[in-house]
Amino acid sequence: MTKLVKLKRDVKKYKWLLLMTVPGIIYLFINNYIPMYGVILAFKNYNYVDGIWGSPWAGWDNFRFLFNTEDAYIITRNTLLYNLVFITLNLILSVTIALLINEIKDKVISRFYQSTFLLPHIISMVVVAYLVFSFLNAENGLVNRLLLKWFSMDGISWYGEPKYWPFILVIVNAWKSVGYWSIIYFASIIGIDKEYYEAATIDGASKWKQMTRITIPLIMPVIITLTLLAVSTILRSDFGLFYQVPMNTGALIPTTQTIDTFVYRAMLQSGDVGMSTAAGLYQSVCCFVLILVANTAVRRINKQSALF
Amino acid sequence: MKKKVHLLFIVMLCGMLVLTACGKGNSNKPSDSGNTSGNTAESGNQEGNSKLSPYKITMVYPASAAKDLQLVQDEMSKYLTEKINATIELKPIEWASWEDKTNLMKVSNEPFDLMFTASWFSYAKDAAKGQYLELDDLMNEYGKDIPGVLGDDFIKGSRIDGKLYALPTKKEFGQGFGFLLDKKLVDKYGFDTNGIKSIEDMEQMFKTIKENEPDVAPVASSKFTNIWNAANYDYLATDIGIPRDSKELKAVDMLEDPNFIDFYKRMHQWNQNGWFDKDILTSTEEQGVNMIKAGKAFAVGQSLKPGKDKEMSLSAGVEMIQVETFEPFTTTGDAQGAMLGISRTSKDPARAMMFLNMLYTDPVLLNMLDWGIEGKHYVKVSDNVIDFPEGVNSDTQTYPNPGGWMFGNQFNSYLWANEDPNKWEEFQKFNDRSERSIALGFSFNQEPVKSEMASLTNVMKEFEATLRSGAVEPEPLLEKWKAKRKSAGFDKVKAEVDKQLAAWAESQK
Amino acid sequence: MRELNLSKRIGPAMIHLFFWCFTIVSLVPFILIFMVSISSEDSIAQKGFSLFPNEISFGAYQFLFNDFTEIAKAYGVTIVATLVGTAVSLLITALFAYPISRAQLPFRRTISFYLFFTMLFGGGLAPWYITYVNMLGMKNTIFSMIIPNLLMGAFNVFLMRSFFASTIPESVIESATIDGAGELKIFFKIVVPLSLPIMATIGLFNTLAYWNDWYNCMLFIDNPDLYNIQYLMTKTLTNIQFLLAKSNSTAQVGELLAKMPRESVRMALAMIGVAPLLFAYPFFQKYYISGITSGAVKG
Repeated sequence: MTKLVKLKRDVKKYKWLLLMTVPGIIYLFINNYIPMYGVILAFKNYNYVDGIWGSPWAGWDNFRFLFNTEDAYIITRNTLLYNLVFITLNLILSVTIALLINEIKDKVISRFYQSTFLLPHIISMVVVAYLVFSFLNAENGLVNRLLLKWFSMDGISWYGEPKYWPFILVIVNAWKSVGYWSIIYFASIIGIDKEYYEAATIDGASKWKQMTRITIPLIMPVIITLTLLAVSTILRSDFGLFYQVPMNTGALIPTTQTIDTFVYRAMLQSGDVGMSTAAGLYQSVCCFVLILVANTAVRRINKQSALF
Repeated sequence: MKKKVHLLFIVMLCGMLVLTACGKGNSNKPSDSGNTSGNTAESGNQEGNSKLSPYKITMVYPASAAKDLQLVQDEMSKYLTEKINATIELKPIEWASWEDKTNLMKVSNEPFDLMFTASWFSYAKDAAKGQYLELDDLMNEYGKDIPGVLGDDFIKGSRIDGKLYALPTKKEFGQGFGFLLDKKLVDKYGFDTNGIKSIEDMEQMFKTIKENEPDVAPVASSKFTNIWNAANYDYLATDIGIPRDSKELKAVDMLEDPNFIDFYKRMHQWNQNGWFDKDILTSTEEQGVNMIKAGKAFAVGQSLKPGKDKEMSLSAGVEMIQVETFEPFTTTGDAQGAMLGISRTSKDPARAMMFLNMLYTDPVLLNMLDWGIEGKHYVKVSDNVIDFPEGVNSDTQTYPNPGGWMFGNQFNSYLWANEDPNKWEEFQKFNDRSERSIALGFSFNQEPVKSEMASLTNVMKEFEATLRSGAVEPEPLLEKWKAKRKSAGFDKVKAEVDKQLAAWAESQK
Repeated sequence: MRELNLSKRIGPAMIHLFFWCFTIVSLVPFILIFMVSISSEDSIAQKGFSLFPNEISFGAYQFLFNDFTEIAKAYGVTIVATLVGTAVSLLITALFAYPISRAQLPFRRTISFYLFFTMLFGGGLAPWYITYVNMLGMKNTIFSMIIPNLLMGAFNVFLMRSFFASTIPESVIESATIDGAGELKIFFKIVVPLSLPIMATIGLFNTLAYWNDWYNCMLFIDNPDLYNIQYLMTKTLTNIQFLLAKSNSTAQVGELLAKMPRESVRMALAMIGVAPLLFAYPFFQKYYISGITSGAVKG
């Protein structure tokens, strides 16, 4: 009972601190917890008149429907493959850039490079869509005009040909996010104790050796942690990248549809609330499991970087 | 103990929030009380408007917002105030975002009165979800003139399970099937297209073209096989249909129907003869038309309506002739091609029905909606023929037609000076001669076999293109298809179709 | 000796060359849309979108500034949402992060977990949308562009919490308590002034997120008067695309197409939309970079 008494006293003592969290708690309740309850829609045959509560139960029908079509396979495959390529390519490019920035001794120039590479990261996907469009527009786009001029090739109708989009989206994603990641890796590189390098220089180790023997091993925990965290969200995708950049073009859906765009399109374009929720729940549950697995892995490697 | 207190803390908070959230939710629900307002007025014959309280009707339809939308809206409101003491808000939504925006409107219980819908725009699905009100009673009271304008078949075709959820536009009512031919080549070889009545008759022409024009594909795109299906079967579900000439209400498995097999044998023969274009597996009708334009193809299969060849010649910029190989055929899907439904969120469905009644009977109102304001957006050349005012052309007009095929009685709509003055007579003839399917008015509710249907569609996708292109012998392919289809649950779907069809037949007696 | 010197010089030169290529890759797309926006129609017809147009014309900008009300309205919405959103968001984040950074807080773990669980699991789009629209009635209000982004996920809160935990000395708070200061006073008078760096960082993240938001506008807004600048840009881009894709289906669309803003107008709109960010970027890039790196190290 004394515990309870102490708790009561603590609550009274810290009531202002507790009250401070109230706006956040209310907000999270509305923004996150009520919708979590709404996942029951995945098991309902939603109709407009009866709403969430009144609509009849559908059991596992929405899931059966989702997995009986090719959709579930395609969106899972697309989301997974894109993310795998993104993670690998971003890692290689951004670590390389971080290592090279570290070689630049002039602070001003180093700073200039960093902020330039970061520029694509701060603009919205809408602007990115415009930029891509200016390259790939069939009639006037830079790419088609250059193809014509240099190789006398007929223009390609980029927005009508799904087969090119895996490459386009990988390039766009790298363009937009490599700057960001390289700055993070660079920050962990400059955190390395200078003494290691001094010792190595005295031993006559070349720059290359210093990179491969000192820098990379020392930032390895960061690399592994960030990569594992990225792997844990491998079933989530950047909605803007897959929706805005292909300009929501129907012809491109086979290669640009991911779970997130599917959830959106199922709700808006086919008005199938139940299936949209089912696909969203499928994603949430898989992510939940993956996060737990990834976190366990991170804990093994570097306890401090673990989420929990 | 400690845990329990934590839980209590959260539960209390949650409870508090649910209460506030619900309180708000209730106030957002459309109130039903408004529904009865105006019901006291006399029927839809536009008198007695003094008894009606003012009401704003909101109509949602797919179109781009015209520059002078507000002007036209004001003018229509003025007219409507006189007639039924109502004003109107036109709410065009761009085609590109139509599905997104309207689905959001439906999900969010937004109040509006009328919305465009069609069998190809989830009419059945929305009706099943309760988005649209049942219209029979409303129509009997406030839309008395509508049945007379539409005729029984149109209204019958619009029903779902015997209930009317939306009213169709009076327009072409059926699909003809045939080919569009390159006029240059028809003239060159002196083909007589008038005598051609069937697909067999076409073959002589294709043969001539193949022999004499090495660079021209006699037939571009095999997508027309789809329309052949539609012209020969009332298609109910994947591979299940009622043959057009069937005297009894009985669905058959199309893959086993001799007529179907013979047709695809013929397609195989065509393919062997080298009559198709090279990209036959993927080429679309649109590409076919482009090939004709480029002088690389002779014919493309099409669904036809009166004047289709003129329309296509104009838009493609190359002269084409249409040849009808099947008389038009009307199924439920054709009746539901363009409709207006009254939303469950309408505050005054009676008034919405009065407005609908006017769209079918009042040419003044309809033409305002279709073409804008006389003298500003168009001038009259004769009684029902119009043209642009001086100094205005299609590029500078400020109220482009939102699509007359979406509203009421299209036959009341004015014709343009460059159109066939007999267009509506031709349409009427077309509608009259179009053969009605025995199952007109029946639509298959996929809901009970939704997931089987999805699997079947996937199976179909696997075989369909190959079959249509005639690349292989049809019979072995069909055998494989049937085997795979069986495991996807075809029998269950077939049984469901039979069941629903029998129930519908019962209700028709 | 000489050889070594040479290789020492070649190394850095290669690095700079590599980085200059990368710089060009980062910047060229922006330069391209700028050049298109000042190309004359003839030039676009002849050379397409080119970095070196034949003829410069500011017609597109004249066209846009002629009737600037749409753009001004959209900017107004974006600015209001950004200002209010950032301010409220910072306040809620800080108010939430501070108590859970204090070790003595009762229910600390419960509250932290309540927050943390939202990072693990979500209800998905449809239930979330229905909550906002049907329960809260937020469709077509400016709140729908502010409230969904208020916490930006739980990450910012944890970022701030670890900042509070590591930089506010316990002793300062204790001595203030002894002096009789209430918790609220301590927070606003002591903690906040000491935490300006993290406030600036998170404020910057929030500002960018609000400025760049089009998703909420797309979901919740039907009324063109409430479009924000990003969504206005989206509309302009996709609308023309749609019309091009369907232009041979009906004569009607062909007519509309002739009246659509031309290519240079579209790119001029993109420039107007992105310009404030590009101009401000040199001034805030320093803080942004340090924000990212502190997040990486601490988060």
